[in-house]
Amino acid sequence: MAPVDVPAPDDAELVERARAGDREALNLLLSRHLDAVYHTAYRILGDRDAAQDAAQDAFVSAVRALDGFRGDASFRTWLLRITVNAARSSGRRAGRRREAPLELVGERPGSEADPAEAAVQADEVERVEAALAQLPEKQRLSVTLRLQGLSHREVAEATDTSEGSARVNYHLGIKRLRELMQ
Amino acid sequence: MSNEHVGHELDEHLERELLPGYAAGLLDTVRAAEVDAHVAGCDACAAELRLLRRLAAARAVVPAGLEGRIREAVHQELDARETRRPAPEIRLGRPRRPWAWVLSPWTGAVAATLIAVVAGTLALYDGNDADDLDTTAVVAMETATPYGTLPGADGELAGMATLDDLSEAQLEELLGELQR
Repeated sequence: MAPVDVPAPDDAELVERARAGDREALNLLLSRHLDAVYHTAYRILGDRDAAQDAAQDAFVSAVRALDGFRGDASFRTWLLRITVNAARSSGRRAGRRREAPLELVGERPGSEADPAEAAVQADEVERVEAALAQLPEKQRLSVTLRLQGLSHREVAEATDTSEGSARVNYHLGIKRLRELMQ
Repeated sequence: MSNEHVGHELDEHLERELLPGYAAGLLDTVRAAEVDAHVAGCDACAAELRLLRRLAAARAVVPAGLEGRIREAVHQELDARETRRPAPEIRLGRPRRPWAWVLSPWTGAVAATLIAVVAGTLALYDGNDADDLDTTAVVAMETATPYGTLPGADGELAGMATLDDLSEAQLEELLGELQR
């Protein structure tokens, strides 16, 4: 008999199982959302080590608060809101300010491929990072979170602002990036 | 404006809403094909998509070992919670009388409050009719989509051009008003 494809459990189901003490469900939620959490923290802090600490703080805080998650927003939006708060707190604690350009990350997809191609890619990453670093945090966050698949309304929920402000911040961010990355 | 035109605009706005998710490879194949078809005939969206793809390609990569480290921290938190959790309470002594709540001094106060709330609600209901409905709420419900309530759909605020048509100064001014 051919194997039957079992659909992956959705977040709501995993959250219920995690609440009931299923650690494997929690591991799945972590694997599923770590990329978005780390990337968001990195875009706020601009520092790899600080972003890793903030990502860990965010997941531990989420586990502490899991019983209070009502499901009004999606789990991803709720988790990213916790991430934004964790990263902002971490930035305040460390006195970091995102005025300086983002650090360039060594690990990049394809960096072990053709050296010439890798160099071109590194230049492109540098250009993108430099442009993003010039945006105010709210605009950078609006663009970053939209690229995580969040709607404007979800961005507003994650960043504790109104939907209208999130929408305008995104448009301002895109407009400025277009000029900076020409 | 005809319904067909409004429908076309709404489709276009929804497809534009999907551009970031499309650039990040998060859309299913059906949605992706719809966006493809739209972008093929829309220079503004094509330009925005090119920019979004460059941004998506420059994502920070999760460092090796981070997932394991966070998993360990999370499991430590769960262990700590389990040891903090109090043992189930065991009642000793004679059983409580099931009717004891009737004699509680709170019962009278709760009953009086309930009566006042019901009476107040009935009085308010008498003074209302269908014409008093909050039209703002109705409009908001009508414009709600699976992607969120769109104020005149993507980037378009009532009575204004799309956000794309505004200068940075105008956008900043609008943002200031929204945050006021």
